[in-house]
Amino acid sequence: MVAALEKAEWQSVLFAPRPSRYRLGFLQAAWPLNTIRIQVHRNHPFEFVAGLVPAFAAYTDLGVEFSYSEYDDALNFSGHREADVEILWLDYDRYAKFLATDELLAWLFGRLAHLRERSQGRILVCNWASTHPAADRFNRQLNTRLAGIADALVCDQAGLMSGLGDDYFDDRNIALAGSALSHAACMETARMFGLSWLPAAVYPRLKAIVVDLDHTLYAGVAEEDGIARLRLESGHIELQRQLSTLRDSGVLLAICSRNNPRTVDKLFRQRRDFPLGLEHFSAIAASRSSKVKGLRNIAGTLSIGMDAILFIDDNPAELAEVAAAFPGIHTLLAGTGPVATHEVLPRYPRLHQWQAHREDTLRSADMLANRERRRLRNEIPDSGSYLEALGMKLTFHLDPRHLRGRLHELSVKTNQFNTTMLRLSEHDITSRLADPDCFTIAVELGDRLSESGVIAALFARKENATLVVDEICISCRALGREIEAVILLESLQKMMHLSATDTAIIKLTRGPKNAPAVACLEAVFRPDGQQDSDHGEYSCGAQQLLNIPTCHCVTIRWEN
Amino acid sequence: MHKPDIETLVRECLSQVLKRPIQAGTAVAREDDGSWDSLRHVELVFLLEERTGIRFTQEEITGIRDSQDIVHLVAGKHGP
Repeated sequence: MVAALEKAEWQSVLFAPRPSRYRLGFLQAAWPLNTIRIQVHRNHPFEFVAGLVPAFAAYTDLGVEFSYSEYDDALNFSGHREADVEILWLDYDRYAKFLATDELLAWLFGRLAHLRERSQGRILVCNWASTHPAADRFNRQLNTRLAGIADALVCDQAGLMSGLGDDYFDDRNIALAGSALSHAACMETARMFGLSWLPAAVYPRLKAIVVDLDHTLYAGVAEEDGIARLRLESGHIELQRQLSTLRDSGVLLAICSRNNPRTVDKLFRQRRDFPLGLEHFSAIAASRSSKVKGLRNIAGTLSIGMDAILFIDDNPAELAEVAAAFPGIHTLLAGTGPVATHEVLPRYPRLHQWQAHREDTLRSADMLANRERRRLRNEIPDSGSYLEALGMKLTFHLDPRHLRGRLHELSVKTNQFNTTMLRLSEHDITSRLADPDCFTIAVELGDRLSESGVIAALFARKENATLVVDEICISCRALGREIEAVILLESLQKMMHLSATDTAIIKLTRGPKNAPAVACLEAVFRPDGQQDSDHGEYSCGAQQLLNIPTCHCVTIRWEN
Repeated sequence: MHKPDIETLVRECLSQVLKRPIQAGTAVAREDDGSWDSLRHVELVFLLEERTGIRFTQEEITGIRDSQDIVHLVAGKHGP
């Protein structure tokens, strides 16, 4: 069976209001899993949670391999092994008997700094789920201060506790197993780890949600029932609101429907009671032809890969067809009842956001502006005049510590213009930012139509008399505006000047998707196309850089 | 719930928690089964409670020594 259909069958178990431990025990993934190693540092049992995680994680294509510390209040990290994810699972009530909140925080952050030095993995810190009077303040401080540690993130266990209320604790098991967590608390925690926290720790966030219309955003069929008679039930309203919120947080929305484009247009103009309007969608594919074709068009319009898309449709056959055509795509079977779409979407993997970046709020507006750019491009055939009409501004930031999170995001999320796919962690980037021999550049883009935010990152280091550029990443939103070479050359000149180097080597790893990056490097450094196609780097002298022609329709500014 | 149904249910629960098949008529005792530790015991109680709708007291939970104890306990609360 196609994995998408099997996963659709799992939905009723995994996304149930209270998942069944019994039914969960029967879920075995028949698709390949990427196994990650998880080390749990704890002072109370995590096994009740860990035992339930595999089925949830398998839904996100993750296999999980847990290892445990001793029950260690002191967090000695003895016997620490290399792990992809480190989880701090602490019963803070035990410390509150001896330490004031500030003392507890100071001690905890000391231990976290120590763990950060020892581990390359992401650190997930479960906060204090307790009725203890100090818990709220502790959790607020934890949120604020953890932002200062690279790749360390908060798992909101206290939020789960407030959701479950009295059902969170079960004192019967304290004497027997040293745990006060109820069955429901273990299940909800496992679900959050498996569906949200672990996928968000190891995978980039999804970039777009593509929705079907009939029986997905509303009940009924627009072209059969008539637009006025389509039913917008409370679940549909909630779903549309959730989609709108996700859009505000940076996820692009698109429609893929077999309805006639005129029907779709009329539908949104007529149904003012819909929380979503046409203006919320960055791409629309409405036609009688297959949804495979529609999704291909949408991915092209948004310049994103299929593996960054969640497709929601009420028809299992459509999901199967799409999943067969695009094995990387994520699918969700729309439905009603206890596992209705609006119940599933908030828990859907890879939509969880650890921290919001400015670019997330700019993304949708920037995509809308792309429509205007395309219109302008058609009106102004001359490339130079078109770029001049855009009035582009590039702002370069050298070693911008405050942009660490966004630099990490660019390194892990870009595919088309990513020269080496190093997938640098926040920890790696923090180390580079602190190293005087390393140079890190972030580039912001704006034009007269929209602000795009930070759209490029360059990571380089000085090695003897040479500048080695380890990675260049440019967001797909910025491609097509002929600024790639400008970013590259301006950055190289600056870094070579600062590092007093006379040669630059630009590393390249060819991947399945980075043809635009390769094409740019070829055009800039091998305009005569004389090189073989297999080389792993380009080199360039400082003087040579000055002679490379580039676009002059861009205003450039340096910060720092 | 009749006794044979309860016995089947208990066997299924033990099999799921201890991760091995358990034949009908086979008694399983905590002290003889290395994998039936205190953590598994709690998981077993969670599973039994979910499937039977019964909530056990702390004394009942700690008093379970083998599969027959569970059958008696469930039958006592859930008998026909």
